[in-house]
Amino acid sequence: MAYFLQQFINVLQTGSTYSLIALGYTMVYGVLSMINFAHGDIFMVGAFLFFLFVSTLKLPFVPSMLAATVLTALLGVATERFAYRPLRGAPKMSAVITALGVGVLLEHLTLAINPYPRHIPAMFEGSGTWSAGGVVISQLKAAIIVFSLLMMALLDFTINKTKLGMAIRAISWDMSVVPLMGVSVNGVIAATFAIGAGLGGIAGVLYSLAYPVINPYMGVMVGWKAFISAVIGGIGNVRGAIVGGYVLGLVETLTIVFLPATYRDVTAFSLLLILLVYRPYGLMGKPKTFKV
Amino acid sequence: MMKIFRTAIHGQPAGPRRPMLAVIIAGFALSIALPYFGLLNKYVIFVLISVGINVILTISLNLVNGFMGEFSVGHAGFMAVGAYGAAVTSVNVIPRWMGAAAFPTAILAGGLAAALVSLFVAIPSFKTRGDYLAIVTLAFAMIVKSALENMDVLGGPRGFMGMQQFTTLPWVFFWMVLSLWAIRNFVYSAYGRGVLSIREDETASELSGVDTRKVKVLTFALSSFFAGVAGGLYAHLLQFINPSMFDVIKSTEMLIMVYLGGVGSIAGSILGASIYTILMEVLRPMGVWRMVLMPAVLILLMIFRPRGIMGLRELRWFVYKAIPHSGAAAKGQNIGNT
Amino acid sequence: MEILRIKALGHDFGGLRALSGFDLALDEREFVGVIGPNGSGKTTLFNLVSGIYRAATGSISFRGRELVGMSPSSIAHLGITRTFQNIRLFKELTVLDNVRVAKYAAVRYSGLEALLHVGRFRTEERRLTEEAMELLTLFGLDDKAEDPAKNLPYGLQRRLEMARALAASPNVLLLDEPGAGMNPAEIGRLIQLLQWTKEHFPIAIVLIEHHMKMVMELCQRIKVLDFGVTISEGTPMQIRQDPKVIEVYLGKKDYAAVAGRTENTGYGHTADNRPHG
Repeated sequence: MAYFLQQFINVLQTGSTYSLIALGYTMVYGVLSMINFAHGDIFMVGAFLFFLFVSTLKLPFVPSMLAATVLTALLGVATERFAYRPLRGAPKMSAVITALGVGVLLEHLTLAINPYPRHIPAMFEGSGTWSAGGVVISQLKAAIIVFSLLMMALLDFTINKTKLGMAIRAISWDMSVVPLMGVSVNGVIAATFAIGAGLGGIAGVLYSLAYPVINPYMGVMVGWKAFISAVIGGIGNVRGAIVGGYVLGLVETLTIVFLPATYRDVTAFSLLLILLVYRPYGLMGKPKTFKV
Repeated sequence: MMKIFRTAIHGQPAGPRRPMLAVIIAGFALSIALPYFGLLNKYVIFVLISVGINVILTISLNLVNGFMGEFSVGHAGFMAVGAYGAAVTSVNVIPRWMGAAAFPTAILAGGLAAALVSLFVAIPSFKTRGDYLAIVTLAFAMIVKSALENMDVLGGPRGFMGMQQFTTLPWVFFWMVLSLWAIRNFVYSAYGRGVLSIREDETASELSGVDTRKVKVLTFALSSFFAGVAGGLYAHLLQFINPSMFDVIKSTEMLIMVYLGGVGSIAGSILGASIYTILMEVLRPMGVWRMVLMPAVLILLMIFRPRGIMGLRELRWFVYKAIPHSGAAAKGQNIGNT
Repeated sequence: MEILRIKALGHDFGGLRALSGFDLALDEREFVGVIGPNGSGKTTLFNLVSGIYRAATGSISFRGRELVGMSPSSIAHLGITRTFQNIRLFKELTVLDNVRVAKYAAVRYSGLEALLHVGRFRTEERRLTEEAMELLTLFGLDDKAEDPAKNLPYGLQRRLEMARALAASPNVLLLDEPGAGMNPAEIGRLIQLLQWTKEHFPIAIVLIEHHMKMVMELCQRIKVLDFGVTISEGTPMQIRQDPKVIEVYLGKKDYAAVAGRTENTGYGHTADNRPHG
């Protein structure tokens, strides 16, 4: 029993990271119907920016995290403005390939500036662990999980209860109606990128607290996992992305329990392939009817 | 100057084919003679071999992305299968005393292995299109890489070695010409027209009687075969391969070459691969910043010239015409402007 | 002789009934019209027959062979081809290649012969190209054979689409609003073209059209659809006088447009803004 609870906490932790990043994929897909393959690398940049503030500039934790989040949000807006917006009318293939290019650009740019893996200094050395009935959870882990959940609740509120959220949902529905509502389409899309990238940045900071060695390619695999989470939940579906992250976390944890750990990625990608072929609209989405 | 380019598939009446054959024979002779008489240093030979391998990769990816209009963004996966297939054949299957004589067999084995696994992408492509297919191909490449990393017999993440350096300039030239010739022939056939019609309008293609499933399977198989061949050549050039050589970055490089040279163009594939490979060598002193330039070029291409230099145009030499002077060939009743 | 038999054909989209209980027995070389307001299920009918959708209920048999469940390419191969309401040519391909694509199934060489350009390849390609050029000549498109299809004016694009549909030597041709976006003079020429096509090729034609003049002049029989249901059928004369048809089309007000001499109902013009050419 304790073993299962322990595994459950692992599911919560990996799932939180996936969900936070998956939200960025799903929101951008919602407004632009485009898969932002660079999003995993935005997450990586978040971790590196955090490193810059905390380690190089020696700022305290909270301002560092805030600054990293704001800058990644701006980075998200910039990628949209300079790489994706010029392609909005172009064939989808161009946008997909551009996104892939932006991702590789971010990786190599980071690599050019930081040729070696970096180490985030331990910030919460004083923090202890809680244990009950053989289940051990570090306070840091608990904080990461709780904070992630809080951010997701905040986003869910924003999407469903605020005017901005309404505009985002309206664009996802039909881009042409939004100007009628007196809202700038470009503004809403920029805001979507800012929120998505900002959440990715936060995920990067939290992830680097738990796994302090960071490198320019760390976003590739995590980004893919987050993307798979978004597909599980039905890409474009905000709550689906949140649930999808935890579902994938569960699947991966189960894989590790029953198979050698190295099979984790193969399982995740196979799940993706199966979903795309048999249920491309995800577990929570509805099938689209295609008009010929 | 531009007169020699025509919109793909048709073109001016094809001139005599002799110059093409002469170029090929001369090229092959040079590829043997130049290294033999020591007229090229090792580095230049290496660059030329890289150009050749990249031309094969580019024409292979162009067949799927440029001619058929499907999204394959995980082509490195096929290359990996070919590289491992050829390497294993060469090291573990073919007896060592056979030496270079069995090299084509190893390359063929790599190509066939890649063609076989292409079914994993071709079958999803029946139902899945556009960016979703792009994900399928990327995921496929990821699975190949992860699977190779999990196979201890193949060295796992450490890689596989023991191949002799069989990849020479003449061999690369031979395989390059073969790939260009076969894919060009395929494009100028009923299957090739099926391929192009899928790019233009898949539903209309199917309703015009094109067996789009068969065409897709054949196209993916042919494309993967040559990606596998390129992988096999690569493995026997470096004498060492590991799974991380065939990552997303490798696929991205192939995309750049396709979109630089021109989608749906054989001449464009040669051009794109040559320009890119040589440019990357020239820029070697830039060090890691060269790697920054690479994706930046791709983004700029997509924004400013998404079809590339030769997009949908073809060099007259490559165009096949069933009737040399069609247009005047057919006679018959004409209801014209009734 | 009967060539196509459709029985109790029905289909729905997410609970919305698009077509129900549709019957049709088409004879060889017959010319049948299907009319009805927008959204009455006409195009759905074509999508079912040509295999884009799989019929939910009913059967479609072509010379005794059941078509429901077959792939669109096999259906085209068997001998049913079609055109589209919104022209769907292979825009970047040449006029000649647009027609040659449709000869896919007529090719008698293997994949290997295609790859090596050997064996039957060259003679077959020559034959195919000559046949395609003949067809283009018949449709007055031979001098445009090397142009990309997208460069053709609108009227010629319609004509090319028809040539492409005929390239596979079909027995049944489904025409989905060939007159859309045409002016009365062009419609007159289209009627001539269709009459000529009908005489020249051994085909039965099913025509969906809003231009009443075309339907009345060309079709031997007409079926009228409304909300997916067949509300009337008969000869042009019978349809012209059927009060149910007039009600559907004109809301009981104007009898003259259907019954009278007007060029068309105006339907094709008000409904959409297609490019004229």
